[in-house]
Amino acid sequence: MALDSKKIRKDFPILSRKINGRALVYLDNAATTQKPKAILEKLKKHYDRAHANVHRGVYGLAEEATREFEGARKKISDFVGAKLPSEIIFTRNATEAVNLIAYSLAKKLKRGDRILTAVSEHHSNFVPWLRLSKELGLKLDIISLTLGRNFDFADFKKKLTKRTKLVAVAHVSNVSGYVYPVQKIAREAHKAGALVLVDGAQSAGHMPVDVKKIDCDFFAFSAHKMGGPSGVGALYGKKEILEKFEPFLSGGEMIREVSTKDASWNDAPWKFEAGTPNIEGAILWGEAIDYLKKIGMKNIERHEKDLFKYAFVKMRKLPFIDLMKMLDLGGRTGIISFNIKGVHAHDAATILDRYGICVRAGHHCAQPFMRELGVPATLRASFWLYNTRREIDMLISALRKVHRALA
Amino acid sequence: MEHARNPRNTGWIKGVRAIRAKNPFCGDEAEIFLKIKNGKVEDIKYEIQGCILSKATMSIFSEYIKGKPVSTIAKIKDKDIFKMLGGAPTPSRQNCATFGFEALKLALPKEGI
Repeated sequence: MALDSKKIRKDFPILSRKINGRALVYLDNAATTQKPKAILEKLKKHYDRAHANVHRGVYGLAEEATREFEGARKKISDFVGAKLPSEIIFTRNATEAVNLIAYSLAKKLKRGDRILTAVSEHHSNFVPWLRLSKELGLKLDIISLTLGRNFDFADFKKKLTKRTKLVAVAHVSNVSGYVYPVQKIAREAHKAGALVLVDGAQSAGHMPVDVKKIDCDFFAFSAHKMGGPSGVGALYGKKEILEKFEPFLSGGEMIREVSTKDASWNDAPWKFEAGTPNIEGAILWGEAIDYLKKIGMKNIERHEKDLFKYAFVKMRKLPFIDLMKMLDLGGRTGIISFNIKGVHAHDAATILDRYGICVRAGHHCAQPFMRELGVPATLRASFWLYNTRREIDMLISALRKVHRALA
Repeated sequence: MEHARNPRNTGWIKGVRAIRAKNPFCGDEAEIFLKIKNGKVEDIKYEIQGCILSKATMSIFSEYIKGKPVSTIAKIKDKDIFKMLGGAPTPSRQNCATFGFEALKLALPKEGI
């Protein structure tokens, strides 16, 4: 079913505002998405009717707030296909989810162990492993890319060893928009005895996700990249593994019993959630998920793919656009990185802004990937459910103007 | 714009150690050669790979500092650079304009400042 963009756009009030006297064309959804008004209404309802701290209170209101908060956990767990809500740990964002694993895994690793990640990873799924390797004397192996800048599965298999303890890869690259074969990666990694962490920041909210089917051990994702508020994210972890992992932060809620001499830990996920969590953030995330489910993740995925193909075909025809060899058409989401030949990405983005068009320019927190591409920065347009072909036409027409003015 | 298209003072100075700098915000890179005599900038050359703003500022700035004492240059503030440019860029682009100056500060001798 094709999406009814007109109707959807009405759910996002910001889309009707003007930027520099022109209609806002928001194409930076891989950085963060805009919010449907339903979550603002939910926030008002929550603050007006049901707010209290969660878990501890024995009064009715606290129980109600806890019910909403834990209800959100259930919605999020269903959304990514987890077996149990207790496999969802609330964090600040996907970055913190990755860092949680880095922290807890550190206690189980020893010098000479290996971690395998890809050169195209976002810094959030790269720098934690770089640090850990340096601190513990581990070997960090880096999967290279194919000529089309896609995940090199053969290179992955070559670099996967019996000493590899963790494979950490993105589900979708935040630069190229390629969908990596995480299910196949997990199967191979498990055969070698390694754990698998998938960075799902760019896939959740853009396509149906099923962590059971992928069979990854961990899946990190963030609310604000899928219509929810910023400041809340989650780590999915298989129950039997989370149980064996040491807590992350220490404080309230994560304990079972504390004496002056010792402490014991709560069950997962709460042993990883010290301190008052982002209660309303989690609840609003749940609301955003309800909104997405109504539209249907398959429909959103199809819509994004359609927009990507439309943009890709148009850009390929423009001789002044450099797609930097990212030319595979299949297995992509609504992300496209490119440069205008002879124009610095930041200059182009500044001019596009004059036309009301928001795109990202820079290294996209993936400097090793930029080095592979041989450029300091790229432009990136990223689409979501409310974007339209007409907006891509506006982008293309503005790109022509930038090229004429600057190149 | 003119300075960005035809930047002044680009190139190398033989026998002077290059100072390399990288702008962490955008990945722009610059290499600066600074020749100092009697506490004054006798000559400056540079190579820069960057956006219009960083190139233009570097060019304008290189003209400005030639012949000036190191102590004066060290006192230059970001807002002085924006004045040279004819106005401050938008907040997210200000680091492009100050990049050349930040890089140059690395090249200045520490003594006598």
